[in-house]
Amino acid sequence: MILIKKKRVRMYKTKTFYSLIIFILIGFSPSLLFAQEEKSDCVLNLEQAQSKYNQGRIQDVESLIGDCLKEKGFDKAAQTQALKLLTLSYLFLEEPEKAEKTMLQLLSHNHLFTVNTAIDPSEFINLYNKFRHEPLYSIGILGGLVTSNPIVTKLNSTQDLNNSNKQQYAPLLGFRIAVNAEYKLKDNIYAVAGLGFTSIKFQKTHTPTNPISNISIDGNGFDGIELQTSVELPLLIQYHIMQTNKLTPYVALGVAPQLLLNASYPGETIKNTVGGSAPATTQTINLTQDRNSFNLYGVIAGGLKVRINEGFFNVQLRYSYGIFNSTKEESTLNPSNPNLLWDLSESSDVFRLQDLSIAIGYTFDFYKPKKLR
Amino acid sequence: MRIAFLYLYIFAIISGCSLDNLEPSQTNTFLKFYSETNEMESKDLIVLNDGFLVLSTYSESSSLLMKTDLLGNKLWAQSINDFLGSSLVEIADGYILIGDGINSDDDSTYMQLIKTDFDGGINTTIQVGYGAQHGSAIMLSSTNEIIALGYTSTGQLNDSNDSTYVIINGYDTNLTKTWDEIRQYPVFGVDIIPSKSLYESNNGKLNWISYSSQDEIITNTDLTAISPDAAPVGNLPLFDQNSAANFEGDLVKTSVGFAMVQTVAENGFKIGIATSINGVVMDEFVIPLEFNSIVSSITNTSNGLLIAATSDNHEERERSDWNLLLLEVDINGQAKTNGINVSYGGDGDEIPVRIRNAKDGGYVVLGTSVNTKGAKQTFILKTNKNGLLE
Repeated sequence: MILIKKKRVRMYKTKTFYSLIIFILIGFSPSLLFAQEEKSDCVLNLEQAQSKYNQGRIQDVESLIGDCLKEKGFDKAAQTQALKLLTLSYLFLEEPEKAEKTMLQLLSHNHLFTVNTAIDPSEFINLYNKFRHEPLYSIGILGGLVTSNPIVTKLNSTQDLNNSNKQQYAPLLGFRIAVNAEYKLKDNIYAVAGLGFTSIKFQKTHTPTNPISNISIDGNGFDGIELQTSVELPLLIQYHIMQTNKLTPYVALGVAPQLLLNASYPGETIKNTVGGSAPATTQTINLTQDRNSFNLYGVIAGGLKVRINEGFFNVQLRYSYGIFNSTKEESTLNPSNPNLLWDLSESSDVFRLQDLSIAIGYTFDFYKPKKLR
Repeated sequence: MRIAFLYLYIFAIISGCSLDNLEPSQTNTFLKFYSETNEMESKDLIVLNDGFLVLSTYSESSSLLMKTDLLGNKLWAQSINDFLGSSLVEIADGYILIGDGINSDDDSTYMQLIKTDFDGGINTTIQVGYGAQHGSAIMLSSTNEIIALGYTSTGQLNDSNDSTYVIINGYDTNLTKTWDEIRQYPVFGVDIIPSKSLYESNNGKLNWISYSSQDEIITNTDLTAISPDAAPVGNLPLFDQNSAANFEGDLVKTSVGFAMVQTVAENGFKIGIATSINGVVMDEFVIPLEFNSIVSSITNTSNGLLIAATSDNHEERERSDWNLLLLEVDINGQAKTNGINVSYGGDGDEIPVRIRNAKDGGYVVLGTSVNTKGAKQTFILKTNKNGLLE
């Protein structure tokens, strides 16, 4: 009895489900069919228009596809084909103003439209070339890893370096993220400006030797990781070595003014050991006042752009060289935090900074087609 | 991750300009630390024509004699075992050190004089006294005589006084005794220890100051002036017998006499300064600083005196560490309005031991730095004429 009841309930549910599906299909099918029919009409009209154009009955083209263009009855590819066909028609009907108008519509509709010099009529190509069809500017974002290493110009120490090991530096990984804008100056040459944020770090170690024994004990001495964060405004000239539809390798040269936001030895990364004693450590030592707040970097970069839709994927390798010293010379013996000198026995070297970064990103092209004068 | 490390490695290679080819920068003002061990105790420094000679101890029984150039770079260093040096002097053919010799058999001490050549090689070592003697100061007199100043605490005096008292003796520069016997110089009922400086006055008398080792009592500091190889002729208590116990003071010869500094127990620790002419105290007072100061050494400036002390003067009052203080006063010991007044140091303790005049008009301070983990290093601070690092 119970089994029969359950079976009836299941049959009822199945029936209800199928009824719902049928209702939905019946309810929506007229509009779907109507839409397909309308779209098909425009596509048919476009095919007819193309046929008329090919037969030389150019005056019939506009009447066939004009309404569909106004009513946006084409998909993107058909719209491009229709506008091109209309432009060609106007050109051969010697209606240049209308031709220019539809060319502008064409370039506004499809930013990536290009002429086919092998088959397109020269009039059409000439008209195309009268318009700005390349991006007005491009804006992108780049981010990646950066390693930095000081170029020491003055070797300082609270230790006797004439009779001792010298300090050593090792690059560590940081990061850089930037927003860049590109503007075409002339063929293959672009101006690139940006705003970037950089965080670099490098490690300094120094194991001095003892005066009598001239022995350096493992683990003795200073060990600190300097961290610097800054913002920069790179200004580069970018040259496209070659340009295909897909790939554009490039090189760039320029400068990057940089404003230091913060420099420090984070507390947990700094220590000094004397004669095998427990290492002396301190809280974070702020070095911002001991470093020059402004610097100018010479920049050389190279990369590859890969066209994707209306933009490009960008991979870039960049080398930056600090033109001015990062260290304030007057701070080497008078650091803003005296613990650096007296408790950690650390007198900063005078150095410039260099860095190498690898970054990836995506750049959006912004088009504004117009007739060139 | 591998790519990142490879990338780092490549950059380290291409950017790793070797520092081995870069000469260390050399500046006329500097701070240099020297640590053979983490138990360094600075003792004395003298200024030579071509550098500095530094005496430190680096263990309970060993001393370090080190010569540096004028920029603080080590020229040579000599370890002297079973000897705790106190002071040193330059002579025509080398250097003479004074300190405590240590008998390694029973750890007993005795005053010891060591003569070295100009490279620190030991030529002569002599033991002074009868045992339990300590060497404190040494000088070369105008008659080319070595005067050794120390103290003993074994009650060897003829009058059976068992207090700690000063002993003094004379030698030629080969450390052959020139006086008939060691002079003994007690202050009845008080233990006195001579400080690290010994000078000859213009009238041929020897001058030093002493401090007391007795704790928890009011102690005195004495200006003592005696004629060489003669009985002591002066013993003048300073600072109203209010000197702080166990703190060693210093004196320096001035254009008119002597200036003396001593830590005074007055609302904590303060700098006491006194001047004397011909063994007569002309003036003495306590410099009214708002913070504690323990004075170590004094030297002359172009128109005044420069005191090296350690003080707890911090903007952050909760800190309790001691920083090096350089404070200039006029020739009468009064604070100078525009004189040198500068502190050096971090969270550890910076304790000066000796301040000297450098050849270029600046100052050289020898001291001991104790970091926050208790490790001790010898330091040399060389400043310009304004007491500053530049």
